[in-house]
Amino acid sequence: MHVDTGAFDGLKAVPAWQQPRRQPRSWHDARRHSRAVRVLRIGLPALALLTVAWLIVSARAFPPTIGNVDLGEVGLDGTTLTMENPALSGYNENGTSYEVTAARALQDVTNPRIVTLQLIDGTMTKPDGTKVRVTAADGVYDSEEQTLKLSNDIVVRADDGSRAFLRSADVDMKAGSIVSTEPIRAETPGGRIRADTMDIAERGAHMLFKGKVVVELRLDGGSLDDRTARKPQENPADVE
Amino acid sequence: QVSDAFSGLAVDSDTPVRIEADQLEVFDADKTAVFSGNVVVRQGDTSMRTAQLKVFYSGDGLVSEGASSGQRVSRLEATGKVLINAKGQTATGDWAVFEMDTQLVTLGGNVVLSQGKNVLRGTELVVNLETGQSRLVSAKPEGTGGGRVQGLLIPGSMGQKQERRQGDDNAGGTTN
Repeated sequence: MHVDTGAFDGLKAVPAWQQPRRQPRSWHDARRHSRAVRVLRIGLPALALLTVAWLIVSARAFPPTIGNVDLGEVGLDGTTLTMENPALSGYNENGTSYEVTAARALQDVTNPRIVTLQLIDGTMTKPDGTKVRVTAADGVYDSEEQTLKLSNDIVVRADDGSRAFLRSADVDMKAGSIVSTEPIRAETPGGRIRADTMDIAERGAHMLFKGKVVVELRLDGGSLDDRTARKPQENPADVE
Repeated sequence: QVSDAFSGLAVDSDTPVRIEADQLEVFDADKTAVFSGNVVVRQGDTSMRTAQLKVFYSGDGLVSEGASSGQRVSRLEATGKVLINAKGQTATGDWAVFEMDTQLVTLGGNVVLSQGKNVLRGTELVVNLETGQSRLVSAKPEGTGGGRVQGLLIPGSMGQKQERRQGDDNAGGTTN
């Protein structure tokens, strides 16, 4: 049976910034419901926090326990299911809780394994209370492959001030890997890094950066900003 | 004893270091990171070029549970033709090791120190970052004690008043 996903593709191609802007959602009234969606975990790796292991799938054990899901206002247009403001939360075995919202989620009922998300906003809270938040303009989640392809304005923030900026990220939740074939930039209290590509595997245990890698750090692990005036950013290529 | 002839190797731990390379691979399990391909390390006006730089760090693991960074670099190993220059002095060798804990920097292989027309050759240059003292050693091939440091020192051209000493330096043998 040939499935015509034409309607589906059209929707996906519409860039996020042409989407009608939702009224700003205050984070606190996010409704706490869940469905099995993975949240991206950031590990803050080594070498004076040389890098931020972005968007690593958190759970050691998968699938996470399902918390709550709220499909938001659901509409069916042809074969495309549209969910406005879906929200979901849950937690996994080691006590890491996560909440993910999106401005919109689209799913073709004839090919339900793929969910297209727009304006994603996910937060992961680790058992010790530290939080990592990931926002991205667009994402495509494949529930069978358990992969999430994020694109456009991906920003990762950890509550110690670390931040990472990516243009695209392919997350493989089963393997716990994140690959970005476009330039990345990250800042942590202890260091800064820039590279053309990034490949983080084994949940952050192994990281490979290639192409014009620039790292700034202090050998004693202290913060870059303490003693020296911050150098102006050479190319604020990515969104701040 | 070539005291502070080459203090250029000084690298302090609380001033930012900038490392550029074609590639960086981090192995968090054994706390090492390897920069490879046209590696350039800069700090202040000191720079080092090498083919590969292996960085050993300590401090908490990949995910610093709440604790602040605390990632400290304990050792740097540069291999594959090392070229260091600082304030007009250059030093080349086959490898270099920076021990942050002991504050010792060792440049090894065929070491050549040069400043202007002055050239010193040896097999190992050891610089103590704390005392600023550096010692150029030339182990004789047969390893029979101190070797002879071959050097060409032209009085006055070293800039600061440099006491010229040549001849056997029986402080041979390497420190590590």
